Amino acid sequence: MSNRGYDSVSELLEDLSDDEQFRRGVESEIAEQRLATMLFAMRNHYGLTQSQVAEAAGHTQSWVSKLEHSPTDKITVRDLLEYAEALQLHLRIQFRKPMTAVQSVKHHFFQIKKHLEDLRELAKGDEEIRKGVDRFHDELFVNTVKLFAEGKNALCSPEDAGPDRPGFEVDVPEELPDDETLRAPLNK
Amino acid sequence: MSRWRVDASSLFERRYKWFEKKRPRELKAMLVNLHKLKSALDDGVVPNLVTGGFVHREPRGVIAIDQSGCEGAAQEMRLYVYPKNSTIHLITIGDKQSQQADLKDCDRFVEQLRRSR
Repeated sequence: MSNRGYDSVSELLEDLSDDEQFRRGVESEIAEQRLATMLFAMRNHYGLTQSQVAEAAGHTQSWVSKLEHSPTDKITVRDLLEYAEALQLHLRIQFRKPMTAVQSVKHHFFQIKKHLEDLRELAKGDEEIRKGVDRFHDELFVNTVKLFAEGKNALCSPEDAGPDRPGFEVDVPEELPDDETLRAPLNK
Repeated sequence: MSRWRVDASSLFERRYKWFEKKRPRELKAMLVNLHKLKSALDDGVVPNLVTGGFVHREPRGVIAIDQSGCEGAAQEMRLYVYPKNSTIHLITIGDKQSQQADLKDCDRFVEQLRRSR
């Protein structure tokens, strides 16, 4: 039994294959089927079989199978729209400059800010929704503080703690219940 | 979410060399399918819930990956893997003729792995 571990199929081949042309062929096929791989993983993530997706999309199972083995240049935007709709997802095609991790966090921060503003707008004039949005803010607050506390603690080793760099001790309660009564007003 | 790793058994490594020379098209398709399986697992899908044309369930949690997606006429092949504890163990590769013997190898591999823990 071997104990050699690899992070990817490409890494496995680098170690195992003596045939560079074969190795490049596999890597190129993996790259060409990047979108197909995404569709396969996404369908499985949502716990659906090929037949279920086919039925929801009004196609045959072989249509799904073909898409999940197709190179990207053989998949049309229409295919993606139908596939996404069958999974009850929205398809968004986005052009944007590559972001660093920090830029990405900032981008998502402003997105959250915008969505919270939208929620508050939705809550205007409806007491039931206002209560739901209010509870949601509490839930988000707790989870966000917990997230940052975990991050800070992961960065600070006990040796680092001191007057200049204290540990980040936060007594965070457990997550608020994610109950349907909370979500119901928001789904109106 | 932890990413899955791939681990090759010595039996897989020995067989790999033969298939790379004699059945490169089928082997290529199986490796691309292995990459797809890994992507689904990396995405948090539970191994025994993965479904797809190339995924075949075998006893004791072993998954046989076939050569679906191979261009042109292809011989039927199987890459036998055992996903456990964030590692996809590559057990062996075979064709229709060796299927029964391959499944016995898989059974032995899983048993050995379980005993070693």
